[in-house]
Amino acid sequence: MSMEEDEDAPNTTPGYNSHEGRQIAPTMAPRPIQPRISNAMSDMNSGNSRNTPIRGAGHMAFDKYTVDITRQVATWSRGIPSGHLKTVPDFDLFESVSAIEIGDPKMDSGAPQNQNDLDTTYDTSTRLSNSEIIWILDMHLGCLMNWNRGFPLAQTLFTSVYVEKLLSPDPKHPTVPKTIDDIKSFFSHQEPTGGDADIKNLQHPLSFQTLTINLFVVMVIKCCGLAIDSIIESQVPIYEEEDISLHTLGRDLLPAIKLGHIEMFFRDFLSQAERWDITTQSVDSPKRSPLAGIVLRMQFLHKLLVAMERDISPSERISSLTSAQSKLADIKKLGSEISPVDGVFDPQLQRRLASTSPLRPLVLNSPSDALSHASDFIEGLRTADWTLRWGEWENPSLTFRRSCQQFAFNESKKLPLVRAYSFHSIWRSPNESFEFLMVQDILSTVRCWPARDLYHRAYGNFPQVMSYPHPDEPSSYRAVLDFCQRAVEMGGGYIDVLRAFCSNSCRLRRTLCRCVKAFEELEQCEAVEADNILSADNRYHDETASRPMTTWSRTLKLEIMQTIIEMGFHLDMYALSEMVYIYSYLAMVYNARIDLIRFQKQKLNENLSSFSIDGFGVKLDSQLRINTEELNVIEAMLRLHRVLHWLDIVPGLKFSENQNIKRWDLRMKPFWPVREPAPPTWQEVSGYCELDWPRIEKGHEVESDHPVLLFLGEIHRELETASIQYQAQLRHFHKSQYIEIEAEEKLLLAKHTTTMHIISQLETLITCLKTGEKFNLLWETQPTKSYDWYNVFHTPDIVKA
Amino acid sequence: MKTIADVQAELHAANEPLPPVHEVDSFFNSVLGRTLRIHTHDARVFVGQFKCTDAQCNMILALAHEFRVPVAEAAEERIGMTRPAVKLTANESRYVGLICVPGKEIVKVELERLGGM
Repeated sequence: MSMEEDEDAPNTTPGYNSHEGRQIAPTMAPRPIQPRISNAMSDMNSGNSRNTPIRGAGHMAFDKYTVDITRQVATWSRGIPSGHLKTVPDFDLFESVSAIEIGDPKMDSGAPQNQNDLDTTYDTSTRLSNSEIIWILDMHLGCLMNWNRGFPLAQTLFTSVYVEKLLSPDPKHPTVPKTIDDIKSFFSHQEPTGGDADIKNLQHPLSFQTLTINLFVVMVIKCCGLAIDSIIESQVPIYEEEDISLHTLGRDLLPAIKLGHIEMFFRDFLSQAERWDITTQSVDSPKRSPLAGIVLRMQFLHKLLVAMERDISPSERISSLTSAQSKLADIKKLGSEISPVDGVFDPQLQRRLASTSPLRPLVLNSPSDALSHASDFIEGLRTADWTLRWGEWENPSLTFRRSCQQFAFNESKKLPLVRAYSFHSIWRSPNESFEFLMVQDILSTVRCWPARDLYHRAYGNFPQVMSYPHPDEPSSYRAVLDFCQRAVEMGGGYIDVLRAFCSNSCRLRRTLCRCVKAFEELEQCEAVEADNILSADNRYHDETASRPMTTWSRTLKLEIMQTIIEMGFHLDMYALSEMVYIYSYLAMVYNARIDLIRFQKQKLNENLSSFSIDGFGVKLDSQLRINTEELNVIEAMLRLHRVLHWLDIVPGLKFSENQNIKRWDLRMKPFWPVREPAPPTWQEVSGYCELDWPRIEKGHEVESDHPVLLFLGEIHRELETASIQYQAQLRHFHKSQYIEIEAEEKLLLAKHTTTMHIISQLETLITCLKTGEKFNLLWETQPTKSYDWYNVFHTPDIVKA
Repeated sequence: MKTIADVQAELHAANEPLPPVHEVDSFFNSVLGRTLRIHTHDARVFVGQFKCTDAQCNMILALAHEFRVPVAEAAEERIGMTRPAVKLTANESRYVGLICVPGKEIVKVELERLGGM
């Protein structure tokens, strides 16, 4: 057959795709074919092989013949010398190494184990009971939460048959739903087959089951889509590219379906639910609980979806999150019956994704885990959202730092969306916003009249930025503003302290170490300069006498130092044998902080004037109390560790003096630039922690007047007094929706718990020493899930042998 | 189903002479760089640019897409029915990129006559 005859074939061969009436354009005419191919085609058409007309892929826009060259390839490849390759130019062996080997189950995600595993066995039009519907909803929610926790979409949501049907419809409904009509038409194809007229005949085109499951799945998909949009917008460095750039998976998450469309379906759903007289008020009725469970789940996800919408106002978001949380609590309280359904989630569906990664196992949780993860997720979003709105707090800067501090160690911060939210505010805000925040911060720590004036001028404006003072105004304004600018802009300055809390724990500690150095410089240079200008001004001598800028810089520096040392506990950096030295330095830092507050108080009292009665003294007293309480617990830990050292029962490797010095130098390295309180040398700290009491023999009773027992008794008494105080304070707290109050209560509770734990350990120790019983020290580092003050300290357990 | 490796083994068993080198070069120069459809014995079709091959007929395709033959059709094929025309539609494909299809997996190689390069 000649070339010309062959080219005519498409028009005459059955199966040629002429439905578009497209002819081969002159420019698309085939190039003169190589003689070998012509021969191959001749062979094929003469009966050696079949020449099959194939309809081309729509997106490729070609309609053409193919030529079977199997036999030719088999024949001529035999002529390639062994060890040689036939390649196109510029393609070599090294490039070929990166190719995925088809058929290798470890590389080829599409390789089926058997022919039937490509098709899912689950039929989405199966009739389901309410408890089964609840299971499906919970598992989809679990998929959403697992994805939010960092698992890939391919292992979570895209393993659902319902999601697969929606995002990659079967050839009968070949388009992915793009409009509300598409969705409706798609839903109607999922109608259950068979009876149950009482559920179906609700004068609605879609049955309760179809509407519920599909609407829930659409909302889950939209939640993912909105989260991805927020993450992309925030430019947060999250590296799960495959999930963020969905084209690599060959899917999109219904970008054309808007919240308004979903609202329409949701109203339909609620009206159907009402016809069944299902209201959330009827949650106590056990007969209705499965249906009530479904309604609550739908309402919960709807609220979550509304909260994740980017265009809503912050107050709407907070209220949606709060109501989502309350719905979640109702769901948990209701405890609906759940029956699992086989085949809804199928790992084989990954084979249909355009991913080049091999098949990975399903990541599914139990429904109860799904609900608890959802709770964590909402809590994370609430905290992130709260953190962003610093302008609305009573004491913004302090709360901001506290929230950041809580948040930095919070498990929920790892959630990409939560990170995106927090990053968005902290990384995208202009420097001027941070200057405003810094002035607020200064005012929460010290009294400084130019800062107060500048703050009041900017307050209420939008954006809240510091305005430059008029040249005729006192130079103090300018001095404060310059100081703020310098502190915000400098490397490791104020802005970096806040940004540090958005990074992971290791980077956080590293950045804070840099900040300590920067703040030491700030305290020694810029702060002194600003204070000199302020004290030259005769107004408000009572405020300038306490050297406000130096005091503020030092306060923040000490706070950062405390955080760095405490993070060492959190990150399990310290060995048990060095705890005693670390506690002693931490106590030094706390003492420096307390001294500073006392200095402020003293200056306030010395220069008390009618202008200074603004509750600042009360604030100082409260700060003093909080710091003293924290110091009490730290000193108790220190003294307990000193006794354990003296008893020589601390497990771990014995270090030589040189090793100890090296280790201590390493621990103090971040604090080397600090002049006040300067890091102690090994000799100083080791001498301080030693006790020269008469030795006791193991297994013998210790006399009641032995210094060790007196020492322990003293600690015990002090701690008991402290714990009573904490208890009294805790009684004054009442449940509050404000995160800052929650955080304060948590902190107090942590102090109380730590104190009680140390008391119980002390009691065991005292009893063992008195009776001569043997005892052991148990010390297990356990990964701490969340940061609170209690968790940063590892209190050893003393147990009777 | 006979794979291309089986065909090679048959040729070897039948003591078919090896093709002359210049013909081998000529053949591969005419198909390298063009779009191939490789059918594998697990009822998949890979469409991509032919980049490289060797004596065992391991074939490397670049920018490849994977298409699946519907299971019913694959079953017909397994029981010996003639393979119906494979309809490749965009919705059933997925992008797989640079792939190496071993000769023992290949049951059919097709050359797209138009628009290959």
